[in-house]
Amino acid sequence: MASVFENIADIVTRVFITHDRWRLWVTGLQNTLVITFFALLIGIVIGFMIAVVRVSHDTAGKPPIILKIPNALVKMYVTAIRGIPMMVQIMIMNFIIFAASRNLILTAIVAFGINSGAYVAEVFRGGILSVDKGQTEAGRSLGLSAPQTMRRIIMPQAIKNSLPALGNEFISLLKETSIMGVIGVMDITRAGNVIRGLTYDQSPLIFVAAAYLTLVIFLEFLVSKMEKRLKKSERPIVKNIDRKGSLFGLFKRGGTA
Amino acid sequence: MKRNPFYLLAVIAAILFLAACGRNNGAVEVNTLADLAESGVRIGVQLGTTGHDHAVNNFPQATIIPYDQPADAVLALLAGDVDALIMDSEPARNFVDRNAGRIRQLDELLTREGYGISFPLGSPYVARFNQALDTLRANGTLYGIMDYWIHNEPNASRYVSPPGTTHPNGTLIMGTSAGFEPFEFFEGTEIVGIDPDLARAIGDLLGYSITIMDMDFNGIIAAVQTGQVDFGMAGMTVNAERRQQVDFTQEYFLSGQSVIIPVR
Repeated sequence: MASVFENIADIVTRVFITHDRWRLWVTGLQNTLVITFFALLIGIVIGFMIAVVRVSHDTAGKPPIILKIPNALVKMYVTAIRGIPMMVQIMIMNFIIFAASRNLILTAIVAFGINSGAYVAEVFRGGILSVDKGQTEAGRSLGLSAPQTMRRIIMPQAIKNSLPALGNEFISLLKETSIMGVIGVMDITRAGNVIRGLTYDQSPLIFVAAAYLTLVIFLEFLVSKMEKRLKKSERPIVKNIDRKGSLFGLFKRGGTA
Repeated sequence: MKRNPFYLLAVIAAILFLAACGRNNGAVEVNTLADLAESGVRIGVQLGTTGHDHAVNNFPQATIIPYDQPADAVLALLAGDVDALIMDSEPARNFVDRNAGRIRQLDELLTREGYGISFPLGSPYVARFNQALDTLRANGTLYGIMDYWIHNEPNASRYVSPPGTTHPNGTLIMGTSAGFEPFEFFEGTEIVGIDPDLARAIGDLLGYSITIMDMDFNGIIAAVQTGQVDFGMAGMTVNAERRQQVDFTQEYFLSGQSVIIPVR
């Protein structure tokens, strides 16, 4: 612990300035952000397709074989991804599946993308199912066919409903990528570990934590702004005039309203 | 106080926590090579190295703790998590210098070993690299590199490509594991050291430019076998086991396993 409270100038010199070590941090930051972003894109594509298959199968009265097989495959895929630790997944991807690949960043993007797809699928499934059944009924009764209702009425609302949870998935993915050093990719955590090894000083860990924390706080700020904007298009909530400053009447004295 | 199951859980957690705190009472003092044979001694090694093999084969009574990076093993020794480290002598000397006064090396070496450059079995590059190494030894470049990185000769310098060198034959990818000063380690975003310098010198002679790919030491041989890298150069000892997986060039550096202990 003593090394952390040393002269701050010495620490900053050792961690950032000597031998231009700040470049290592910049590379780490770039790799973390690039891999998270593209992995999320892949995850969204995969997750959306999975969600459509799952919801179509589950809402059909008697699902045809053309839905049954993909549904079974998709369920196995999601079970496998959710059942195997991410670190093991990325090692299998790098040492077995893409063993000859020289592009470690691409391997990482694919590994995290495939992993993210399983979780994003649940987000989209929830988003689709959360759209009121009345919307489907209204659409059909207006003469739209089932695919038209899906495409023009349900999906836009489903996607809107999924956006906050997708934002959270982005944040989770960002933190999950901290293990990619295990296949040699220079991310923020690995930059910190390399510098720890060169300086025999644990303070780089604090900077690694600060970096992730800053990114996550910023992303959470963006997510909450997005949620506020989405709420604007919904029906206004009638203010509860009983509240009088307590949390929905929970902590009111003298009994409930 | 209510009979609350969480109360019991908290008590159990507190007991476990306190038990974990008292972990440093297994320390064994190591002062000579013979002390490594004490029962219960904790020896730190780098995963997959010949030091690791030597420890496992010769000290069955010890607790062997492998680390992915040598620096992590050194940090463990400084923290008292292990009693001694077994590591290649040059990097060991480097770690000792960087932590002056807190750790030291025993004078005797446990083994004698040579480092080689690894290629896929049957590769035609082995003969060409051997010829290049002979040339570099004859014209003094090899000793110049060692003078700079190992002996810290004031007049020596890092390897620089001779002016007018071209690389018409393409690029070769070198697999290594940075973190093994002075053989390969990070300086800023670049990997520098004996192995990068020597590889570039060989590449210049043969007309190849060299790109360095960093990875786990333990994965280098597999990377050479699958073709993820063209050759492996990572302060890697030549031994019979590895010879079954890859072909090695001649040995370009003679080393040995040494023991690092804390200064008391």
